[in-house]
Amino acid sequence: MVDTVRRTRHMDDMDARPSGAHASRRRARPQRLPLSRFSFVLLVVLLIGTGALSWLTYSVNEHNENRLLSLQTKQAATVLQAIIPSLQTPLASAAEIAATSNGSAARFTSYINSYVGKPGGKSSFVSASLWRMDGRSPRLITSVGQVPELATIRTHDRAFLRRAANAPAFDVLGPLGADKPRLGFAYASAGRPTYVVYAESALPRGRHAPSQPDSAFAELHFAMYLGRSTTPAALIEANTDQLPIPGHTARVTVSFGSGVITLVAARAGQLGGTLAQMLWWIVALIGTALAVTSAVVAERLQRRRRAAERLTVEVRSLLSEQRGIAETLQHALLPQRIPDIAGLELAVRYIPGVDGIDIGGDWYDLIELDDHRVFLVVGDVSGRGVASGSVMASLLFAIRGFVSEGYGPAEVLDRLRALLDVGRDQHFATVVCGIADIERHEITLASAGHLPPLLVGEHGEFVSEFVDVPTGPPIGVRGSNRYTAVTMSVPPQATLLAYTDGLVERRGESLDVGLRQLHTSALGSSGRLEDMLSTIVAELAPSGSGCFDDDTAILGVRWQS
Amino acid sequence: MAELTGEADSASMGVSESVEADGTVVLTLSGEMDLSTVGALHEAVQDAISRKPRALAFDLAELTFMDSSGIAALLSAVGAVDTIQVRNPSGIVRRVIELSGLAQTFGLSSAAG
Repeated sequence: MVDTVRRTRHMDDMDARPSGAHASRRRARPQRLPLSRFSFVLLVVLLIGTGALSWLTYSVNEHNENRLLSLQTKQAATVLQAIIPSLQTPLASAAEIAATSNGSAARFTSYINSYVGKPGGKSSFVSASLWRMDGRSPRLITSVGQVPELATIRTHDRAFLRRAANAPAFDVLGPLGADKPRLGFAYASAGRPTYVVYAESALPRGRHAPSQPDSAFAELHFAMYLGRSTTPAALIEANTDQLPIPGHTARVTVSFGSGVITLVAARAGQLGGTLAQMLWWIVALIGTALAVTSAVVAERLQRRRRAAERLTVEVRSLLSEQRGIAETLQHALLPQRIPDIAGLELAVRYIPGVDGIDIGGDWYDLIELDDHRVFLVVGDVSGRGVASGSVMASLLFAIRGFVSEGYGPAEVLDRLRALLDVGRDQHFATVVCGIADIERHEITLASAGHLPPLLVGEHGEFVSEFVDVPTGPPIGVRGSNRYTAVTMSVPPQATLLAYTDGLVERRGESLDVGLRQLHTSALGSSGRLEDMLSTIVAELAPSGSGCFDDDTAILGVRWQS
Repeated sequence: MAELTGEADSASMGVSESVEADGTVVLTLSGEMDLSTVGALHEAVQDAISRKPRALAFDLAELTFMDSSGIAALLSAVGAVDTIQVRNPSGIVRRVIELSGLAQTFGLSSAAG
């Protein structure tokens, strides 16, 4: 809006100055910002939009990632829970066997042996032992595999086994031992005496175990804790050294025998794939590129438009300047002064065509022969521009020369022939010339391809007519015959109108239509000769513009008596 | 010029060329000839006279309209060929030629000549 207002004012300024072209250049310079206001606003808006869109993409991705993390953690917990039976079942079976075999060490050993192996092996346990509760104190019956870590902590083992015996269910103890950490499990038989089967699983060294690439934990950083607390002492196993796990974590608690295991997990990588992760970057980059491109294109279009507007104004001012020059030159060539002859009213018009940026080839001339005779000329050189103008000037002055030597209209035309050749000069000219005689009330006319003059008057039986002048070829076109002049008497107060084709020729219209209009218009006008010419111009100009397609010259002679 | 004044070029003109047995180049015009269409004739005339024919003829039977710019185009061959002939002009076209005093030049028998 502001921009438009400024530009409009700018153009008005320039219209007011003839040297608008230079003024505009001088003015334009301080406005040279790297970006116009519009382009800048466009850029900022698009960048903000891009920022918002990438933020949205980013947060949607984050949200998805967190949801995926929560899902995967739950899935991992399910896997964890599925392990319990593989640990619980052998112990429960061994306890049952001990109860039915009265604590037979051999039966126990033969059963549990297949579940016990070396640390790092495929077996579930590294150590298994059978205990019988003698009242409140447990007594070791037999042990398979390594020495139970439990046994190394006297107070601990008793309390745990006692607890296990009192609550006959799968019980978990741990983690035991600092150097080679283990997790202890216990299962007590029902009935008396109570047998407790105790077994230990080895935890990975340092409680750190890298997860398998295809496992449920592969894409997670996780840590498993026995119990609900996530203190380092309660850590069973983790696949990361950074504990507690930083960042956004998901936490799931699963029951594990008599206790619980807490699983804490964070994303190790991108759960939803790299593309989803990169998407906000891609959106940001493409958006920024589009914003910058749009701003640059908008800027370029605006500059081009401004340049075009400046150019239009410059061209317009140059055209009007040129038109001014053409008019000045034309007027300088045409006679400055109309002869003042008693008994004759004389009037002339020269109207440049609508595209009158060039000098035209139309002319008129009035030469006073004596106190009662005037030589009149109306002519039209083909084409436009300086060449036509100079042909026009040479014909105009040649005619004056021939007239001063006393030649009549037909003789003048005969002599003009030698001056112009259309094949050589690319121009030809139509000329009508004649002598108006006041005393004799006569007109003598000769024509070289020119449109017939109109004799207007209303006296007796005479109304008005186009003078039937014998027409020879235009000047510049070779012809064998000489021009002939016709002399006719003129009724009182008659008016003779000679004109160039611009007055009556209309694009797409027959010449006769224009001639008829001229006839009607001339007959309908009254008052002085000047007024008659004004009326004719006003009525014949297309759509009342006062301007004709082509240059137009009109000459009027009126006998005052 | 039409571009400057913003007027639509409603008129159209066609020019076709043939050569007669005696070497006369005949340009047959159709449609309307005014300032907006006359360029086509100028080109055709320049093209024809570049081959230096002895005679050039314009067949105007199909030409429905002509103004003074058409006269200039017809005269543009003057000097380059010995004979210029206009054939079959319609009423309006014939009138323009006669008013220009060119009936004889173009080989038309004329009452006004």
